[in-house]
Amino acid sequence: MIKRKTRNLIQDSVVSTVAVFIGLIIIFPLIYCFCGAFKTPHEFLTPNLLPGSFAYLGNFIEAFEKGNLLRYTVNSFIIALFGTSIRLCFSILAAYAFAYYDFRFKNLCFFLILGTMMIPADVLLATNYLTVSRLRLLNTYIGVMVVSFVSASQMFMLRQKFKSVPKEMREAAQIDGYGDISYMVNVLLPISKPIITTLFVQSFIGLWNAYLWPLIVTASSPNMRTIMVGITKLNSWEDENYQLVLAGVCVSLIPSLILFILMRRNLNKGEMDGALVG
Amino acid sequence: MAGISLRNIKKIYPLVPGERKKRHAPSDEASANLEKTERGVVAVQNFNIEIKDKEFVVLVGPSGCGKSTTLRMIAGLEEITEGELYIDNKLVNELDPKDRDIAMVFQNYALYPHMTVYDNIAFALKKRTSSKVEIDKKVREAADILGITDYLDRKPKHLSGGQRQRVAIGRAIVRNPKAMLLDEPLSNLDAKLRNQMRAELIQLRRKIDTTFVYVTHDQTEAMTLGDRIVVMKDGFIQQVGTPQEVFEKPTNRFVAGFIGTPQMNFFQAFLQEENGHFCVDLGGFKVPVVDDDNIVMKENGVKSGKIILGLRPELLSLEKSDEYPAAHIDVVEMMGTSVHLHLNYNKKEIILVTQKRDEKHHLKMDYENGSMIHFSFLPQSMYIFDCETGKNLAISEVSL
Amino acid sequence: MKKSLTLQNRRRARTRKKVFLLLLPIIIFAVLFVYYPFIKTIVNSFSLVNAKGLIRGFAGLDNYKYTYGRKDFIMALKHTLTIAVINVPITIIITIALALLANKKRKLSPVYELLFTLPMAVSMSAACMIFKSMFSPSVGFINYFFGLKLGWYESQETALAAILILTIWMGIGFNFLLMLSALRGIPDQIIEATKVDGISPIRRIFRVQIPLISPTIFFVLCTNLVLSMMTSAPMIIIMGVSSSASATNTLMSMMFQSGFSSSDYGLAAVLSITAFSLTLGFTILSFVFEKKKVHYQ
Repeated sequence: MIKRKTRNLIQDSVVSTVAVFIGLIIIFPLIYCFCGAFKTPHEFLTPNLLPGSFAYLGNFIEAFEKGNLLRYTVNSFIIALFGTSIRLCFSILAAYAFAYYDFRFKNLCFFLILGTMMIPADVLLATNYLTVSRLRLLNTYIGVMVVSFVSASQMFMLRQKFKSVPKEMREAAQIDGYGDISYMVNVLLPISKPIITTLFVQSFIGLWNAYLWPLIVTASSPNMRTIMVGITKLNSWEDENYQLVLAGVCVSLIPSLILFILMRRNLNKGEMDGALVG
Repeated sequence: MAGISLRNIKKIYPLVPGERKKRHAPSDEASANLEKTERGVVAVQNFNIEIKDKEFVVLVGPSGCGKSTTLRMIAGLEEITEGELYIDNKLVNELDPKDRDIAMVFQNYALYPHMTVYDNIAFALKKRTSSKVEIDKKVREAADILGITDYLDRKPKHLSGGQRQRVAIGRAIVRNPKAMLLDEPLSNLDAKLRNQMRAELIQLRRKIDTTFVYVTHDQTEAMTLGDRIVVMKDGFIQQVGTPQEVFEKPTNRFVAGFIGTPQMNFFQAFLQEENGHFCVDLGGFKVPVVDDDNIVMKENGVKSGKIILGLRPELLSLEKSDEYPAAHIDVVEMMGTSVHLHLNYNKKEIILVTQKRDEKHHLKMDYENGSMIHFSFLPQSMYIFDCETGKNLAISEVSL
Repeated sequence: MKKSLTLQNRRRARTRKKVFLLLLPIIIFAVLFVYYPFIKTIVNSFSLVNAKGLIRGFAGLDNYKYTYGRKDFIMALKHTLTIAVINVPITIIITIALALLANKKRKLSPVYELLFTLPMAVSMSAACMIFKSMFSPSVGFINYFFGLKLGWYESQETALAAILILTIWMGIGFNFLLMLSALRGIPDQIIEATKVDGISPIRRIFRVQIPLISPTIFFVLCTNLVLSMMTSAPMIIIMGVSSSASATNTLMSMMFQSGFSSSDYGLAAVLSITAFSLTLGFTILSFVFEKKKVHYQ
């Protein structure tokens, strides 16, 4: 008779193996992309999955030179970094107001901000384009960032976190002579580091991955394009040089994937630290 | 180091929505007895007290009595609706907490979790001096007094409850404030730790020479720590006095029942007058009132009739004879050297505390559930309260 | 005797100023880039708008009547609904299955959990380009692997199918995460009770686990419906925005075309509002279900 423990072990191993196999199938497009980026144009026409050698960097070089990829990467990075920072900043300020103060139109303001979650951004594309155009912000970094400054869900989560901090902490700081900003900087934000980091990474990935809005804002200025727009221009119907495209896609995926994997690791670790501290 | 005066302090939580969220007001159950005016719920009223410099005053009472609210008004965390607050002879109603030169220890310590103990204590000083040397000196002094020098590099989550307590106190004393305000600091500790910390607080009191205002719902803490106790209920001061005074001469039934463990027993009894002298009739058993009390009661214009008789459990004695009131034993609690007998007297529960062994160290009688015993008491043990007002009839009206 | 009101008044005035400054940034941008465009778009849909975006007159319901009568609108609507109706159930089934598989924490859990969620981190355009290359008739992997000779993007049905596969793939990561956390949120004791009662795994799945996570399922349903109705990027990226590519348009890609290729802002507005109205009900419902799933414990 097989012991229960061994039976469970076998069951787990089988399931795990199957799961990993399915997982590999799921990420197959990514594997495909990665392999394709290293294939020579000739190799690409053959049906083999793997490239001849992973040392072939010709595609990458060509993408950077011909496709202006470096400039696009820089653009994306600046937009993602500053856009995320400003968005987070606005959310923190608003969350602080809702968590610590009572005022006359509090509910109205709260639902005003929350209401933005009901309207999908794509619906507003055309008008926002005109607005940005009139503000002379077309083809600028700010023009691309400006629609992402409001994140009701971030503000909501930050407000939850701020409210969970005991009121006494604010009062103790008050008695010690600390005003709002210095309390935020010295106490509240350090305490909220985990969630702020998570929101930052999430936002960064989101802004890095944005396509539609940057496309229209930078339409007339190829130099200001973001990387996500840039990779779609690497090929056209006539010129089917997919290996070039895939190389560009690989580059564009690197930050998102790395940040994502790091965030997952932290989340898994964080589950242990989840216990509340006095 | 300064005296605090509260004159006619009143606190009203407005019922108008939008101004204040309900969470600031006491819980509904506790606030059921608070006076409600059109302006709002009156959490504290008629609060008058002169706290002397370096005095340790304890505000004690059940939940919702207004003690925390009063403390927070002294701190400046709550606005004072009416009345004047003086700290060190200066009117401070309008001042922000940081300008009142007071320090506060919160119930759940409110330590900054991301800072070390050293930084927690130093945090308060950073806004007052910029000299690192001076800050360091003061922090180490405070740490030394509290015995936490070894923990200066640790973060709060690595400290035990008692240690965190001490850090919270350290954070308060390091600024050398005019007054220390403590809001139920021992409530979060388990029973054993609480006793330990209470003893430490008494020692600490000697080392730190400043005015203390301490809030608690535990009357044991109040009795052991305070120079004077302020007993509160439903927003009013019930009595102010030293622990002895409050224990021996409670001004009303509430104070009598609140102070002292186990709680005082209350009986329905009759006050009779025989030959110009009052005596108490408890179910046929008559006990004359003590002479001094008799005089006071006459002065107060007390008439015979129904009264509430208060008797402390320790002051009831067991008797064998029939002429004394009888009661049945419900529960026998063996408490080490003493025995708590829960008795059924006329369908009400009363408690009698007696020693297990008598003076000759012999074990006293065996107590059986359900068996009947008799008890008696001395005239000096009696407390006589008015049925309606609950006032202690033997306390001179003039002195109140 | 209102002696102490000065501190109160001072505090209240300070609060008002502080709150104003704290909320100003987020509210300005919310109004400017969310509410204003929203109202403007509604207004535009009822007006005659010239190519510069300026309103030249009132059009009442004419824009709508005209749009709803167009053949290409009806086709775009059909495509949008097709995508929504096919995408969502398949996504839900796949992700529930994956979540059930991954529910128990095993040693290799971090590995396959990561693999299942990874599509989440991939951007729309990156995924489109990868899939475009994968489905390429000449050099694409799909044709080779399955021995097909389909010109995927050349005919309407197959193009839609390819795009459906793409959107389903993109949705796996996030929805798997939601389902997994919902499954893991079921109190252990309930599962243990089913084990003690001897209930077979299949029954447990369908009679216990799935019903218990139904708020999450509904939430995922609503969210995905909304998202799939807004699909536009694959059309734009893969199929292109020229008029010849409009055979596979969805509502939103048609909106994009009219707004940015032909500067027909009136038409764009009508399409936006139509798409929005279709999703509004589901957006509201998704909020309802989100609350339910949070309070479920």
